[in-house]
Amino acid sequence: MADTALQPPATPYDSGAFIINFHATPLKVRDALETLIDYLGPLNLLQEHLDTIEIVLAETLNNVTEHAYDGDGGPIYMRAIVVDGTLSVVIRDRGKPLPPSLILADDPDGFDPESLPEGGFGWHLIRNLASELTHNRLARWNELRVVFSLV
Amino acid sequence: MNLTARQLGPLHVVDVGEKRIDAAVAIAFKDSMRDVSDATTGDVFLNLESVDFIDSSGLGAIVAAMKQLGPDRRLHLAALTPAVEKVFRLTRMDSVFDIHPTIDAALADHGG
Repeated sequence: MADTALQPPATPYDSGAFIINFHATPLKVRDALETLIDYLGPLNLLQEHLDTIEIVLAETLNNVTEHAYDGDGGPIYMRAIVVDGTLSVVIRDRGKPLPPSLILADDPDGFDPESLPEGGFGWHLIRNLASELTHNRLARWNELRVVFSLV
Repeated sequence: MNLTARQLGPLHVVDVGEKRIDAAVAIAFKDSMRDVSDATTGDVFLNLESVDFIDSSGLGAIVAAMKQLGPDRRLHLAALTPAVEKVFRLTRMDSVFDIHPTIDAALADHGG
């Protein structure tokens, strides 16, 4: 297993795209992440890559649940596909528009650890760990596309 | 929230029996840690060896748990798994906690 883990995944991933629709709650987010990690299992990715993917998508989906929907719930659509050693994930929600500043922020140190912040870590982690990040507002939907290099 | 408080020599140890400290359990974690803070004096050592995932909500809850201890007590962390270590390192919150490789190492350092 260890030596195959260094190989880029076959292209495209034989099982096709992963698609899931779920209601925006913390427990459903947890379930969706578990299902996605299971889907990626046959690729034998490095644990480090799986950790990065799970951290970024957890932050993204929590943001939708807590801010786009203000904790009131709503539909989330997530689609993931692996092509040429790259995982592309599209997440759509019908919540409040995402402020573009969160994607474009050029201030990666928006918090000071010494002040013992209890939040504000999420976008910092997303911007640091994702290979690419794009956001579109489509009619009444937010669409966030996150790309991870797996090689 | 599965937290177990125990005494290890002079150390107040809290074993986290959850695989995840995430948005689904962050508030319960903070509340349970408040009960531990109220029932003990001195520093608290949080054993994270069973936790294989943490998100920013869980990180915030651990910071809150440290603040609940007040200015004269510290929250120590032990046995961070790789994904947990990554979140602490990338947010630079590893700089504000005393982090031990294992609970036994913490005992060796603070056992008196």
